[in-house]
Amino acid sequence: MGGIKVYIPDELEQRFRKAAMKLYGYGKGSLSIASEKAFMDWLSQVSEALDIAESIEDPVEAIYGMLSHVKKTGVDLQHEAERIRAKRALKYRNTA
Amino acid sequence: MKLKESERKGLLNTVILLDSNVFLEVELAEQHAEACKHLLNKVKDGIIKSAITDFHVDSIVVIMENYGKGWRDIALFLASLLRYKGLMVYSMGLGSRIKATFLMKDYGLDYDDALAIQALKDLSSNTIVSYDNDFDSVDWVKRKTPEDLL
Repeated sequence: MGGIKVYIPDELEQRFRKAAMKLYGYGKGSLSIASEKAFMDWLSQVSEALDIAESIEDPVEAIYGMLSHVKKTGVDLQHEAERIRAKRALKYRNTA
Repeated sequence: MKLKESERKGLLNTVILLDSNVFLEVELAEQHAEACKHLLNKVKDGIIKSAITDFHVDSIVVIMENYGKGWRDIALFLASLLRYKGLMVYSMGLGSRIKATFLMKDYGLDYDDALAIQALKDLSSNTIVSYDNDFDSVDWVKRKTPEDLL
């Protein structure tokens, strides 16, 4: 078994310890069990996308100007997303 | 409205919620783009700790798709989120979504905005970065724009 020493904010540490002990008991292995689950969760989220994410040098520059052909504000677009969702839902309903 | 130094330092220690329009403004590359880039660079470096809900990530994807962006750009956007040291994508569970509907009733919000407010509650935060003034109807929420955080 490997060991990793990590540094996290105090408040998070307290919440993590408390939850781990409530769920897995007040014995020695509780934190390890909870940590292993947290590590597995994180890995399952990122592992499929590691190659593409690694190729992105700067995440901010990578998206800059992607919608520069659109002459609207971010808030306008956000509200438009709601309408698009609603329209699509109705479209699927009509074709069902 | 610019923040005082003490307020700015306080923000460094709490999780702030990012609204979709912050990322959209960078994609639009218009008047707010520089301020949004500045903020996102701080998130990238982990100087600011932040979260965005999975629902709001999907809103950005819906818009990108609607304006002609294909799978490659969408994949690039989604993968780019993994490179921010200070960004967590917060998944809204069914319980949170149900609770959000009560916020729709209490504050007259649409579902989108109510989800954001519920996410703030879930994350024990009260600060959202957004250009959308619909949030101003919620008295305990502090809405900041990226320009405020410069």
